[in-house]
Amino acid sequence: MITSIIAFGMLLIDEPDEQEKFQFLYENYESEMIRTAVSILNDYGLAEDAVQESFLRIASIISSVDLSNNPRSFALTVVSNTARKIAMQNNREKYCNIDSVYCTFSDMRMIEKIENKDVIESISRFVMTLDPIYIDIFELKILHKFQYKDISKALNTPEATLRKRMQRLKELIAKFLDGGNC
Amino acid sequence: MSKVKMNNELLEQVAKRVNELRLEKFDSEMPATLEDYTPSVKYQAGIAKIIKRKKKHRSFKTLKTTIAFAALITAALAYTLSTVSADMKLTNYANHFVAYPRHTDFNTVPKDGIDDGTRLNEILEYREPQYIPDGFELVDSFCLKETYEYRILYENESGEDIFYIQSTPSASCSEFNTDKSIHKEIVINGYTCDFFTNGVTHYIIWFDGDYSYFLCCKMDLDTTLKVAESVG
Repeated sequence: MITSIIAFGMLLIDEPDEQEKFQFLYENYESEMIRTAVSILNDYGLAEDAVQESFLRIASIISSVDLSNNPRSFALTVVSNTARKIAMQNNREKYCNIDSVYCTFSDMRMIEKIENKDVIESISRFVMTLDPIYIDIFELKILHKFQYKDISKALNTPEATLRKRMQRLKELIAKFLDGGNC
Repeated sequence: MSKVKMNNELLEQVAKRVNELRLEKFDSEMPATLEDYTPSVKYQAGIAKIIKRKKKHRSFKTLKTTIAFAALITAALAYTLSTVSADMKLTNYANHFVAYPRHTDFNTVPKDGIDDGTRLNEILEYREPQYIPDGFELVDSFCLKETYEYRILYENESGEDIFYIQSTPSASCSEFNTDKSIHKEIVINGYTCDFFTNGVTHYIIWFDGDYSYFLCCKMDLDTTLKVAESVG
């Protein structure tokens, strides 16, 4: 079965080195991707769908994937994003509105007081309190250095939305650095 | 905290740490064991659809190539016809031009071709734009002794450039393509200038009685005019 899924994935990809990349991601992270999707969806069938959808997205941008730069993080980010979208579609989880993230400044101030000693750690923990949609774009753009057009394919989200989210996230971090006044 | 400024380096450090925290979260939340994974029919159907789409794209590519080739031939024919008519127009309205087929040759010899002996044959006073927009850097600046041309090139990181030539009326200067360009006579610093633009590249040519000036800018029109006005 594993061979068949790889073979199907391969048909999407023309270049041999891209096939190797896809195979590497599939063989090394498929199991963890399934488990991550299960943890979000609490449903094995839906988790399967999420992983399958994720591999389709990954295949569409495989040429931009850098295996030397946290491939595990990339695979899990894509699958968690896909799983959350499926969860929202199935009303299994309630997510706050994208704009409601601005309401977290009271939490920010608390975090700042507690962890002012280490700025990076403090900002990182603040970012972790935000909606995962912001963390997805943050990781893929800043850490994995993907272009917006590739992130758009990986997360199945319009480029303009991604740019806006990135802008909002930077604004939030900037406000956090300024003391979290809102 | 307020003393820390957000920059790319900070964001990268934060992203690395966020990644670590997130992977820890994934690890702690994902179940330790899992049943054997079996691809569903839905997945296979989805893949099959995409393969079909890919094949369709390939046939579209062939179609696109054919259309592009046909368009190229049409454009070449249109270009030949348009340049002939454009050149004819040029000879009628340009102040300092002699036009040749396919290109416009910027030549500072007056249209009537008469040199009364009072015109300069060397550059006595070098003039250059006093205003150069932020971000542009001087790439090259030199004087061609043989043709008495003073040439300056500026460029910025996004590939926009400013090319300026000051030359004597007897110099033979650059040629440039006026295909798909529009022409207007404009007045800059009291001098009537020939202005050409194809929407991307703007050319301004003028003669102040002593020297001819040629300005070629790949940037917005307002800035181009500002640069031209600052020559002195």
